[in-house]
Amino acid sequence: MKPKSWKYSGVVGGIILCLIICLPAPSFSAPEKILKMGAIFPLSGRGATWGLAAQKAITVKQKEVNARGGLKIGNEKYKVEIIWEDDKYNAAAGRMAAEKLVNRDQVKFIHGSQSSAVILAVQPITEPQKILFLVNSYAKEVLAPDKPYSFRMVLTSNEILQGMYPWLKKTYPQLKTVAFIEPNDASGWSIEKDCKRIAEQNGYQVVFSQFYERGTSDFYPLLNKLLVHKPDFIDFTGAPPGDQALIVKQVRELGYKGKTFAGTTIDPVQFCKIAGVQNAEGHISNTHDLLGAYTTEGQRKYYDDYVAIYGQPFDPVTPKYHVYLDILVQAIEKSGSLDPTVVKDTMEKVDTWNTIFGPAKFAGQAYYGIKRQIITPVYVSELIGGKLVNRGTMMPTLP
Amino acid sequence: MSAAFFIQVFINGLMLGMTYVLIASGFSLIYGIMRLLNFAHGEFYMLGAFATYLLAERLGLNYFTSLALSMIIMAILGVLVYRLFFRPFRDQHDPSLVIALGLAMLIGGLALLIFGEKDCSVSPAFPGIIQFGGVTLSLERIAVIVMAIILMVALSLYIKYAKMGQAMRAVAQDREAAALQGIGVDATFTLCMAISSALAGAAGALLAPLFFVNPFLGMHAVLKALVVVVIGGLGSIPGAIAGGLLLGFVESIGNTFLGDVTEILGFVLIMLVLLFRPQGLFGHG
Repeated sequence: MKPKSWKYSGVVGGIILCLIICLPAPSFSAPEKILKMGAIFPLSGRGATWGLAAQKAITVKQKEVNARGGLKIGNEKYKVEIIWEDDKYNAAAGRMAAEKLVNRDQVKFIHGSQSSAVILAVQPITEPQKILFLVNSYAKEVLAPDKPYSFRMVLTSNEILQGMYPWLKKTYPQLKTVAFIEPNDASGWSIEKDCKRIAEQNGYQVVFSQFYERGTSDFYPLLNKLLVHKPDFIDFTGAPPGDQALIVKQVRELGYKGKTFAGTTIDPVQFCKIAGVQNAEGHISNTHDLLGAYTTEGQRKYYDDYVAIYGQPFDPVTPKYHVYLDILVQAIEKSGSLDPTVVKDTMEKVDTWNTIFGPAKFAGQAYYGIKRQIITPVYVSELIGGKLVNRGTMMPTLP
Repeated sequence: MSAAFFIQVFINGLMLGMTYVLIASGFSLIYGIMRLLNFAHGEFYMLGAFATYLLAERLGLNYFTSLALSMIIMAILGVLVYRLFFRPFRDQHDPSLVIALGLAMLIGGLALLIFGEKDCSVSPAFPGIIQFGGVTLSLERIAVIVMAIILMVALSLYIKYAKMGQAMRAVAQDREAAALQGIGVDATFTLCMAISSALAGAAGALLAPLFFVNPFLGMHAVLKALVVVVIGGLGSIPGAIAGGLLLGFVESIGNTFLGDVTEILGFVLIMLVLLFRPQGLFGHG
């Protein structure tokens, strides 16, 4: 028996030795800390162009933060993990995503959608539970004194047009009348209200305004009616980029010679491909060529980081979404806390934030009743020969 | 408002109507023969547009070759979809409906994954516009109207005079009696699926240069097709033509005189038709 038990002991010992050699040495360093955040954007459906653009820009910032070891709170570093949810540009899907993020994933910070309906459906979950909700959508009622945990991280038509209309008036003084075409939903209605008000403030006469259903591709009937009013320029700020290009193409086919204008960002290559280079000539938009004039160092770095991750072609719609995580990271590091209330208070108190666009601030006390609207520079460009030409940059004034 | 303005309204309605006819005819054909509401039909339209985009823009093929190839590709895809997804649930209405809806979501999701969210465009085969008496129409639009008429006439002639077309009509009227006469019901269904998918592919290919191409085209298209075939009569090709044109004219006139409420006019039309002629304008009781 004795030699046999020795033999077994040898086998068992050998297995243990092998396991010790083969298994990785236990790590004695502290486990990596993770900060989970939620993100609800339209990653499919008609709003996906914007949702996926936001996802790309936020991911660029996330990778940058994680590459430097994570965001720093005191002596500890937290890697940023983002749980992405698709709201399909639909309020019910957005609310379901928020319920999941808050109750199951227990996140305290959520980056939110371009859809006003989604934001308004999610706020009844985030506000009572004191979840910091960084949003995009254009509707005015998204920001209100009873919604202190919601911050808007992107300029809306209100701020953009307050920059662009005075520029238009100065640059093209011969333009006197304007027509509006906007999508028939909460965002479109809100934008149309802003457009009308700011146009009239700048002395333009509104001669036509009509909504269209999202998904429309034949604008001939609407444009036929619009052209009767002979507007000097047409503004379709609330229309998605593809619709904008179709409107430009079709209105030119119908013989329109005036200016076309939109206070939103476009992809010039895609726009000209759909509209046609000739038809798109002189189209004014809120797009900024990051390789052209008025470009900051931060924007150039963003361009390089973006191309390193996603390759060419660069998507000019994405940069504005970089601000979301950029400011949140700064706010968490400045406050030294992961408590959303403390971070919210810091976002209220700090005057200037460093963004890729240069210094930015939160304003809007007088207009929205609460200081929760980001103010970044407004860019104006024109399409000339199929290329984007930067025309100017200005800071919108919002008390 | 001048006479030219009203002629433009009429021409806009005709163009819009022909767009709906193109999309709805295949949808109606499937219901007429197979008694299946194929909600994935809109996705075939979207795939047809993408096929044309890939063939014409990426591979640099001639537009008409791309159009023909898109129709062939969609026909093959339609046959595969029938064999894999619809045939196992043949004659089972509810499961087929769920399969069609699921398939629509699956194809839409896959398209988003493969092609991305960006709008793509196909260069026009007929650039330029013509103007007469204050009325403007692009050559692209005239080409779509002409092609749509050719396709509808060809389809009607095929169903009326070709042997397989007659078999399709027999199966639509009485499947069991047709089978007793030696008509292969399964083969007829396969052919029906191939033709309707090819029609969706043609619609996608014809409309791609006019508008744009993205993975979200399908759902909007199938909703319009549903409105058209309910108005015209489920399963009736003349009904799809009448329904499509009627909806096009109503929307064009509505856009001109009523503005924002135009989108609901289609549903008002459906309600009126269902009240006074529940089987649709050309449907059978």
